[in-house]
Order: sequence, then C-alpha cells, then structure tokens
Amino acid sequence: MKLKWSILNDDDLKDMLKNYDQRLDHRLGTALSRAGLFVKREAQLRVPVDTGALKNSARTKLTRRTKLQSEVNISFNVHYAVKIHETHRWGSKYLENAYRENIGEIRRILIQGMA
Amino acid sequence: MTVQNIPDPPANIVRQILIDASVGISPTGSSSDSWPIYVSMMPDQPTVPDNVIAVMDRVGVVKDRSMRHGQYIEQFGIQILIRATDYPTAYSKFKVVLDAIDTIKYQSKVFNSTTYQLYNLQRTSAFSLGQEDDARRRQEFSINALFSLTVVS
Repeated sequence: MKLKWSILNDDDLKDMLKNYDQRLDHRLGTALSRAGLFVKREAQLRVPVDTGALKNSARTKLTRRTKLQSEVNISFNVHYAVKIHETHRWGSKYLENAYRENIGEIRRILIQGMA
Repeated sequence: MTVQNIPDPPANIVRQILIDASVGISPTGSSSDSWPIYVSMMPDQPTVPDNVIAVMDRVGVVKDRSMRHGQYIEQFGIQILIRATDYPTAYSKFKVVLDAIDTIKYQSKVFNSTTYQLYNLQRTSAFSLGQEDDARRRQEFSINALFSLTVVS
C-alpha cells in the first residue's frame, strides 16, 4: 500500500523549485528526511499497542536523487500492519491520519528546510 | 479558512449511491445473499451475514477552493470494506463496488431532503486484506477514496 503526496501540488514550494541548483537537491533531501521522521513519530502516537511490535517496526527510508526527485518512504514492517491500518476498530489509519492531519506542519518543515 | 460543512455523513451518501446502483441493500431484514451495506461499522454478530459491505468516514483533505464563495472544499476520506465467505465472491463484489463508484461524476443528488453537487470520488487505493484470522477464514477487501461534494440547497 502506498500513499503519495507530491510537493508539486504546492504553489509556494513550486516557486522555490524554480531556482534549481544542486544544493537544492541536498536541502530537499534533508527536509524530506525531517518530514518523514515527523510523520513516523505522529503515526507511532496513533498506532494501537499490544506487544509494541507494530509500533517498533516503523521505519523511514530516504532515497536521494538528483533533479528534485528524492523521496521518503515511511513504513511499518510486520505482516499484520496493513490489516490493522485498514480494519482496527479504533486505531485504524494510523499512518494515513498522521499524514493527512498534519499536512500544514509537513509543508512548514519542507519550506523551512529548503529555504 | 472557511470549510463548507455538509449536514449528512459522506459515508451515508456513498451507501445510498451503492444501494441505488444495486450493489447492496440497507441492512434491516437482509439475507446472506443480499449484501447489506453498513455505515461506520462492520458487525460480526451471529445474526449478521458473512457477506457484507461497510462504508466508513475517514480523515479527508482540504485542497480545492470555490471560486464563487471563497470557501474551501473538503475532499472527504471514504473507506469501503468488503467481506465475504470466499475469495472469488469477495473479489467479484470488490469489482462491482469499484465499477459503481467509478460512475460517480459531476451530478446532483438529493439525500435526506438536501441537494448535493457531487464532483467525483477519487480512488486512492484498492486491495485485498487477505483472510481473517479466525476459523471462518473470511476474505476482506478494502477500497480507499476521496469524495468531493458540496451542498446546493
């Protein structure tokens, strides 16, 4: 399951990307990494805990690429992660909500990191 | 930022759309073949059939802005869960639900005496959740989407 959000939907961020140079790639990578860690932490606050295995399986992985194509993946790595995410009575959507409820903060982290 | 509120839960409106498309029926007095559609829950009592659909409201996103009113339009998060006794049954109903929600386009819909303008229902993911853990081994599918609509009157 993949949730995707492209910063190309955001006018302020798009303006920043107009003045492209290689240092911007580096700053974007760092900002994405910070945003990814933030979403991971927020998801860990929402995830239902029984043994703690699901909560502790959270990972972020930054893939640095040139020309502003970097991406960050946030994942939970136990076999029942998707099942809990989709069907848990009160703790479902722990990752999706962490991102959707914090779009403003994620945007702030990205803009601050790239400025 | 003003976000337009709607008086009915979007999940109820989606359920009515699915009922109108003959995908399922309202849960009262249903038999196992008729696919009752629940809102906000997927009950598991002995009296509830195995083959059910559940529509849930989920967190949405605020993206679009009305040029006329200046209000922001929320895209409501919607989740549709499908449960059935075996995989082929669950899969075929999963496809029927996908076909039904893909027909939602720019159109008016009256629900509970309120007229809504539906814009679209944009699928974000649709996949199998596999078997349930208990002995019944029922199959589940999940569809996630963003639903855009506004109140006309």
